[in-house]
Amino acid sequence: MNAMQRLQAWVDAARRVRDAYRTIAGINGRNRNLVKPLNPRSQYPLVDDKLACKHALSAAGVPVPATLAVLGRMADLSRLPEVLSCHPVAAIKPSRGLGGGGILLLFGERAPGQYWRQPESIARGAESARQWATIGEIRGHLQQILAGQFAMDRRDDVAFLEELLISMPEIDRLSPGHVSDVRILVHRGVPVLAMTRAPTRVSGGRANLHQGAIGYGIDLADGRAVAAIFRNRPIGRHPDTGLPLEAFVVPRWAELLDIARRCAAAIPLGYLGVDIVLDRRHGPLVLELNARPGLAIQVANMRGLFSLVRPELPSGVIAGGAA
Amino acid sequence: MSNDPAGVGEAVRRRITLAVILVLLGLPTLLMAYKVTVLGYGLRLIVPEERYFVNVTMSFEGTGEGVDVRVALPIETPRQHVVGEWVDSPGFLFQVAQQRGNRFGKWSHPKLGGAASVVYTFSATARQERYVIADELTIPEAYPEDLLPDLEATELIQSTDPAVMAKLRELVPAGERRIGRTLRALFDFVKDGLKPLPFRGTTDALTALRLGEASCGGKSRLLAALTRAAGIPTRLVGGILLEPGSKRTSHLWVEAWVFAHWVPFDALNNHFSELPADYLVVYYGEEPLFTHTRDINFQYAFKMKKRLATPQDVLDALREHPLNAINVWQTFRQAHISLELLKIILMIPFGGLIVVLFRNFIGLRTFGTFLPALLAVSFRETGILWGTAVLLTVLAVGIAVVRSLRGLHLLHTPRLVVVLVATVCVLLGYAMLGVQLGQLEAAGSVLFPMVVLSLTVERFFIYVEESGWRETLLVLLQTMIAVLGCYAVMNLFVLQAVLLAFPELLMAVAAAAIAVGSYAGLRLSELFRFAPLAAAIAMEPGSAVGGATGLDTGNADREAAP
Repeated sequence: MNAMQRLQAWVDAARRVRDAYRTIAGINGRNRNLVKPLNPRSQYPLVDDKLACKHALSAAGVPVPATLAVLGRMADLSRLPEVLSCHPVAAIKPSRGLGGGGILLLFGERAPGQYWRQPESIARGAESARQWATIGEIRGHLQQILAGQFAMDRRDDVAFLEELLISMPEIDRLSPGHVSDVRILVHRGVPVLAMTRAPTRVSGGRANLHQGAIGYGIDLADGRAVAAIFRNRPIGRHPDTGLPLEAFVVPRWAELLDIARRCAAAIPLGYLGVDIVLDRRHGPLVLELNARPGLAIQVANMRGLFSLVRPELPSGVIAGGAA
Repeated sequence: MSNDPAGVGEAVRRRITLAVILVLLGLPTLLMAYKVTVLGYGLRLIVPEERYFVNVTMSFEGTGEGVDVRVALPIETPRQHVVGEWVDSPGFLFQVAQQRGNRFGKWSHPKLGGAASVVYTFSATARQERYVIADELTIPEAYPEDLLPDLEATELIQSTDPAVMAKLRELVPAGERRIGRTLRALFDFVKDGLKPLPFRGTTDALTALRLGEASCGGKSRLLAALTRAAGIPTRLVGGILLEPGSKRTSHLWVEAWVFAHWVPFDALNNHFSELPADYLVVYYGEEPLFTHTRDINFQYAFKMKKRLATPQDVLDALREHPLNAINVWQTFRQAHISLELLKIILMIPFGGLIVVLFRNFIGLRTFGTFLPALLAVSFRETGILWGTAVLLTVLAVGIAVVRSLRGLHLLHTPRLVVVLVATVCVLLGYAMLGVQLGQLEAAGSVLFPMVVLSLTVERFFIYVEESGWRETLLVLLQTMIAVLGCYAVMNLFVLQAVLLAFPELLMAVAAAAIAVGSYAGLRLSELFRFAPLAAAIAMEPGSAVGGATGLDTGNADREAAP
């Protein structure tokens, strides 16, 4: 009898784990049940093209970082010295870049024709001394952007200079000197999950979780951080410093939720990731939108997406997935 | 939003999907039934025979004198059929001579100065052959006259030597006349009593017996000596083992005369009264496979390919029918496109399906969606080892090229052309290396999909830049797993054969893809990825938010601390 009870306990536990798995959205589930049915392909250019996205958002009254200059043709590059002398502090971005590729941050003039920049080959996580680039090197980088080197479809692209953002102190302390952002997942116009993404030494200053940034799950009710993950695993200590992670509350949380809703209203996508930076001077600004937001946000919040939203399609011919 | 999930949509969509799948499965089933019942597709057609193309390259150097090279050519036997022969030997006189059941090809050159080579290619099919020796058969007292040479002692088969006779008496009890028992005892001794030895020279029977070790030649001569001593006519058989690839070795076994049949025995590879389908008989007797003028630095190598082919008579019989896969084959043949190419074309969707399974069920990440399937096709020519070497070299060289070009800030497409040139150079380099080493599989590397490879180099490079080497190599490893998976499936003989006879089965591939395409569940890799999450949810059903957090609430939120 005892053995029977133990067996029953095991069966119950297995069933609970299975039910838990069913609430989690995998890549198949996200693509088939959220992205495909909710995000019409025709709207993709609006989020994949950062400049177009910024236009659409500001038209809807959503705050976005100021665009300092747009360089759309090779001929525009002759204006570069002039542009840089006006804006020696800026982020140079490809308009249709993918995963943060091709972004060059300029921190100011070092000497005439030389500019401080973020360390090169950040993928290797080298935290070397500050590096600088000559105007020629910056022009080379811009040429690569224009030739589509960083564009998601490798077609010719447009480069733009954007105001360099600085996190509010409450957020900046998560990853001093780097820009952490807040990702809010919006489903059919309603925010469903949120997390704060803080770059680490491993992520090389980037806020992408798969590159090694820390994700803090955020309670939608009050903006409180509830848990943290690093490389898909819950953590209690910072991977760089080994110090305990402190709880924090995202400032101006209600405003952020409102911005996320307004984004969803402005861009007709039913499943949307809104990336917001809390800038020291301008407050919350929408950095970019994502039509295929990642799945790690579930782990950061310890919640399966399908316990919060209904899948758009029934499970297919092959059983499995969220029912 | 146009796609409202509520209402009739769900059930209808599901039913339509199922209906499409059923139609895609039902149509080929009907067609197959039609072909089998009305057109009379039999097993012989469905399973094409394996045909080997054997390429014998002989190279040598002349010193201005006359040069003669003689090679035994494969013969026709009831179990094997030589389908075609080609000779490529410009400048040489070539003649074929028949000699006591054997065929010899002879190349002559009156005055050869410098290096030269002649190439002899043939294609052949062979069947397995097996004899059962009835226990009551005894060794006859007398034989027809033409068998007597196969009972005599020779220089290398010393069947009358006292040591051989003593061994025979030791192995076979006096008075034992049953032929099967005698052969078994002698065979087992030669098989187990002599250590196998990889030796290319000639070993005679007595030496093999004394040394207690021998290669195929020594073993065969000793077995022949013992059986001849026992009064059973026995002859040596020279041949080659058919297996795709390159090699420089031939093989030797024996045939014993049992009740009016020549029955094969290979003591080295333990084939008793049977011959597998991959054995090709070339000649009988003690003469060597190659004989040639002295001191010409003679070298030879075999290169073999296995190909599928349908017997011509079957093709002819079926050609008249309309709605016939054979017609497709015929069209290809008229355009000088081989059955092999047709096979590859038919197998590529299968490769695609395998990739889909790897990606959407298992969750492997690969460079390029269908790259694994395309690489698997290329690997058919090169084999797995050479194919992997070629792929890794292309990636390494490509990365080096891209790296070194970085300073020039080239535009994307022109840079791709430079990578393409490097890729082609690597492929040609491997082809030349392969020819030099006699590893002709490596020469197949020229059939790699070059443009796709160049794009892969590009993607590989960006991946290294963005995610680091560790991640990139991980994805490369997963790509290789997918390649091997595709390779294994696409090289399944049965699958190829069935698909050639019933190309309509591709519809079933589409059906499978539709079924997989509507799978929205987790991938195998995601079960691991989300294991901590699933465990956390399972432990605290309902409220996960605000649950166990790893964060130090400190002064910020003291009342929440435990």
